[in-house]
Amino acid sequence: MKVKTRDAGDVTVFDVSGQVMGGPDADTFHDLVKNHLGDGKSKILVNLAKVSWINSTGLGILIAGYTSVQDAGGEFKLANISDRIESILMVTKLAGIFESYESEEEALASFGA
Amino acid sequence: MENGSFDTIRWDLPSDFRWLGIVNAALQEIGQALDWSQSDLNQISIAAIEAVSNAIEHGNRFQSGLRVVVELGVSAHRFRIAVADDGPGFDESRLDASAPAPDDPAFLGARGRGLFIMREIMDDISIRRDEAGRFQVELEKAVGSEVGSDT
Repeated sequence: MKVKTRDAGDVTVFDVSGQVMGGPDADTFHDLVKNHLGDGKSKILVNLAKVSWINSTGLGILIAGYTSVQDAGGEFKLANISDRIESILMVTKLAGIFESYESEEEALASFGA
Repeated sequence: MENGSFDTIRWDLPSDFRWLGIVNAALQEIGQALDWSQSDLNQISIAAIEAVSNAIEHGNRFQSGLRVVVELGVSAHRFRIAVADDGPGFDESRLDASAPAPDDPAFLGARGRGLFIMREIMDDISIRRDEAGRFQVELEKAVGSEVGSDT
C-alpha cells in the first residue's frame, strides 16, 4: 500500500494505491492520520481509486483511522470505492459506518464548512 | 463438501503478500473463462485473498522459511480453495462465532473479521490438518447460472 497526501481546501485527501492488507502498512497509515490530527487537519478523504483490493486487516486500518478522526471530532470519508471493495464493506456491514462517495468531487462537497 | 471432479491448480508460495497477485490474477482468468458473474468473481476473490493473506500473516507470520500451499479447484458449478500454513491454527468453534452487531462497541474493533467474511461469502468452510500435518482452511461455493439445478 502507498499513500500520498494532498490538500483540497480544508480537506486532506489520502490517495491510497496498491493492496490494503495490514502488516506494517497499518502503523504507517495510522501515524499519518495521527500526524494530520496533531496538525489540526481533521477532515480526511481516503481516495481508494487505485486500490486493487483490501482484506480484513486492511479494513482494520480504515476503521482505526475512522475511529481516531471521529474521536477528534473530525470527518473521515471514502471515495472511489470499487465494486469489490463495496462487496467487502457490505459483507462486514461496514458500509453503514463509512460515508462513501462514487467520486472525489461528491465527497469533497459533502464535508462540512 | 461436494466430491465432484475438480480441475485443480496448486501453488507452494513464500509467506509474502507479494505473491497474492498470482492468486488474484488466476481467479480473474478462471472467472472470465467460466463466465462467472461479476458478483461471484468479486466474492470469491475476496474470500480467497482473505484465506491466503490470513495464512501468510496469522499462520506463518511472514516467516520467509515457511510456505503457504494453495489449491484452487473448479468444476462446472463449484469453486473450492484450500489453504495450508505451518501455524498453530485455531479451534473449530471459532467457525460458528457470530460477529458483533453494528450497535455493539466491539463492532469497530480493528481485527477479527477474516473468518466472518469467508463464512458469509462461501457456502462451506472447514478446517483440518493436511497430509503433511499443516493447518488447512477449505472453502467451497456454488457458482454459475445453474446453481441449485439437479442437472
